[in-house]
Amino acid sequence: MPFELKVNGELKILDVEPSSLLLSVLRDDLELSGPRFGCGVAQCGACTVLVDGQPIRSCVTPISALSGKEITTIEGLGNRESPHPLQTAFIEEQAAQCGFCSSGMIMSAASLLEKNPKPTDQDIKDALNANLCRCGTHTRILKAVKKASEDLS
Amino acid sequence: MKKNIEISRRIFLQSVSALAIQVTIPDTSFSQANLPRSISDNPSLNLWLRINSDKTVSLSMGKAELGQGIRTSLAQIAAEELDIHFNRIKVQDLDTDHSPTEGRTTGSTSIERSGVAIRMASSEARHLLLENAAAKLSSPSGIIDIDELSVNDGQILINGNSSSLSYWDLLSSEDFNTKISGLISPKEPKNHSIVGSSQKRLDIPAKVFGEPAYVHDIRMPNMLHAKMVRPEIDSANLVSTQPKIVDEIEGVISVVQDGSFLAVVAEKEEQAVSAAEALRKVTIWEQFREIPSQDSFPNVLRELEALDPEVIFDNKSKSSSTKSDNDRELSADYSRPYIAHAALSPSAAVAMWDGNRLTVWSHTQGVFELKGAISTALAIEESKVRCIHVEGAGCYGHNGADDVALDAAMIAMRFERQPIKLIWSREDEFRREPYGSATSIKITAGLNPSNKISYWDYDHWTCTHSTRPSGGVGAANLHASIQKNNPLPNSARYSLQNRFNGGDRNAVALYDLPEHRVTRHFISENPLRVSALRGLGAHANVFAIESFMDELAKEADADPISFRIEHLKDYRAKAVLEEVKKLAESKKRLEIPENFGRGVGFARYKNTSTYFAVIIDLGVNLSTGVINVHRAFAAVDAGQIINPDGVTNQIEGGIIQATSWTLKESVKFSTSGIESTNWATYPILRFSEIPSVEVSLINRPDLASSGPSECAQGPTSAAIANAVANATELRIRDLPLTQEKIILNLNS
Ligand code: FES
Ligand code: FES
Repeated sequence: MPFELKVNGELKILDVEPSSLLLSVLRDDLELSGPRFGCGVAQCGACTVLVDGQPIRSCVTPISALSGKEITTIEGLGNRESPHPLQTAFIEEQAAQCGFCSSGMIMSAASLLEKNPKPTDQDIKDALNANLCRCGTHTRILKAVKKASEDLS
Repeated sequence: MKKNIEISRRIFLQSVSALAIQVTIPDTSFSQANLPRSISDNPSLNLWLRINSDKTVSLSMGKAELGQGIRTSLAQIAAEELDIHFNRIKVQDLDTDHSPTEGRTTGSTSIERSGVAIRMASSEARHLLLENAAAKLSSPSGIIDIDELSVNDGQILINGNSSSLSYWDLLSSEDFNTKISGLISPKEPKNHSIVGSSQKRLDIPAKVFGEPAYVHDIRMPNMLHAKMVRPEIDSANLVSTQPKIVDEIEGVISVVQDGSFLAVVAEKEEQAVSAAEALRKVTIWEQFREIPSQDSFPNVLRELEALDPEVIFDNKSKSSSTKSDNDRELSADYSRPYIAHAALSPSAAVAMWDGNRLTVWSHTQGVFELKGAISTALAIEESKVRCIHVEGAGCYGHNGADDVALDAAMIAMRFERQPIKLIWSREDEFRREPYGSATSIKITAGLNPSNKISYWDYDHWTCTHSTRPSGGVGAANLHASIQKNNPLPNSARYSLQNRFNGGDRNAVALYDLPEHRVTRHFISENPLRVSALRGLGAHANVFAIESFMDELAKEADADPISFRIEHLKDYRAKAVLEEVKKLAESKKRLEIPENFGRGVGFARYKNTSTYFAVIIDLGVNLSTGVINVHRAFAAVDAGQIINPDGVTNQIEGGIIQATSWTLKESVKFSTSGIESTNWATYPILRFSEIPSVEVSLINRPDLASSGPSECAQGPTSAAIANAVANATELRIRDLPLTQEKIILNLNS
């Protein structure tokens, strides 16, 4: 049964079960690599994407809940030609080691900056608290989000 | 979407086309005692460097990017010696078919070893190019001497004026078909401009744009997806299963069983996940060896000792005794539990058998060793195995990367020309990875009346810290190799006689101690599967030594930093301690509601590598037992610094990860299974808990570079324990320093 999903501004018609998880659909059917698989149980944030601007864990979200909604992955946020200020700031601040957490961090931060363009350090920590980074790059991520918020204003 | 396909195809085609590339096989008869190992093993210059017509230079290396930025730093060294702009260097994939063999990317040795090799190769290449330029520029009327030439971003200059030639006019790649002599002097450090300046990492853009960057992102035509079905503990055999149960699941291609190795293969990953779940429910396992209960740790480690203890260091004969009857003796026991690498992503691999050769894409730390291990495990010729490195999530040592590569390979051997992608489940990653070894330590020392240490007796009990796979016997270190039919002997994994295993790392304190004796109690029977975790034995050893130095300083009523400095001779060691003290004291004291504590920790990693000192400021809430690590100050001396921001990044990450180990981490297990299976049962530090980190780098351009990635672990753990003692008078000697432990100790 075809299922319609709006991803990064494009309507996709997919031959998948409505019970399929969004992360699988994004990675396997739409061949997007940005949403990463870290745990599959909503504990790490690596798979974070935006649904109508809200950060969600795509690894536990069935697509049946998403018809008519706007899904944004990091590929939709920006690319090398026209990067989002967060992506520029992550490169500027070298806010990655292995970088496996980066796209989830950036998506959570993007949603924060939409709602709160001038976040304090504490606001950023709160917004990213459910995103894990095993490499310990937190202090740089914090700086990068701060920098992006300044560049956005 | 199109882009992804293109890139995946590119990865695929690259690997296929590389099969056709001519490679100069190292001449093993070549040996020159003064050449570094990386060069004597790979003497051909064209194994390292190639001049490309598009005005770039290809650089090959045997070291893997693990998120530590090594490939960027090594590219800096090449650009520096070649006098070309940094972004002209194209770092080539690490591939057993055409990369130089440089051993594994481990032990913070990449900059030390590969750095020296690449510097040598690049300066030699520059010399060859200049020789060629001199010949071309000379005419009967004027001979140009090579000394008159210099290079500016590849452009040849004669006495400072530009010539008609550049590198790209000079040589075709065959001209590098020569052996590296090692006789060309590299640049003097004072002339460096790229080395020593912060360069942006080459690998970061792909990661922040969400492009395919990891093994997990490889997509190929005809690719199938596999998932493992595994028991709760690695030491269990399969008793029975019911493969028919998956017949009804859409997309399932087959169940692969080989002895106790059990996997499912499906068209889509999601289908493989469902099938593995169904199969798991009907599969029965039997544990084949007992493991002690977690409650019996750390004491059980001392009971498990079966071999005779060995004194591995004793300077008694060399030092005149300063012992006296008036000495005060102190003694303390320390321990650390099993710690998981806990990469943010489960391990993954892609493997393909083309009927003649097996290609494996892996985030292993040693492509050549993995190739050997897979060939032994599958009993196929080594020449039929090719391993290509593609990044995974940060590994911090030997995790499941190699295991999953064999898993994928075993499955791929049954599907000719169909690539198999296997990503472990989160649960498998936690349960199967080889943990960092649990360790128990006892230190006894005397303080003489002038408050100097008069003797020092150090005993440590630990299993191996390294069971890395390799060809031959070491292949048994790959998990599936002991599961399959005709298994390799599991003794290599569970019963080790090799005592040189990293457990001794930093067991000998760097301090100038009279009557200093270190005894190793090697536990040959591993209760749990273990291997190299960032720092190996150095973490527990430095935690114990640096905690005990604080206890002694307190007994001596001395400032902990001055007490350390008084016991050190090494000027670089003293310098990092003085530097970190200066840094911390330049800042305002923290105003916090909790009990404030400050602690210091120091070590020279491996006693031969990077010097590191750290000061931790924290608060302890006496009613809740919560420790808030507020800030960390660090000073680092890694010899000549190649990429300053890269070093700082590694140190910041090391401190934060070590803070996590210290406050939270311990693998949970019962006698029948591993109970840490996800981030809820194995919690790590979160944003709300991280300290601010300030790092001061001491650059020593004339001294050899050393790696910074592992030096922070032990000192940071000790500094936190020392700060807790400073804040509360509580001395906690068993890691981790959990909230429960603080409360329990406060109430007792
Ligand atoms: S993969 Fe979705 S939260 Fe971890
Ligand atoms: S950079 Fe590796 S997990 Fe965050």
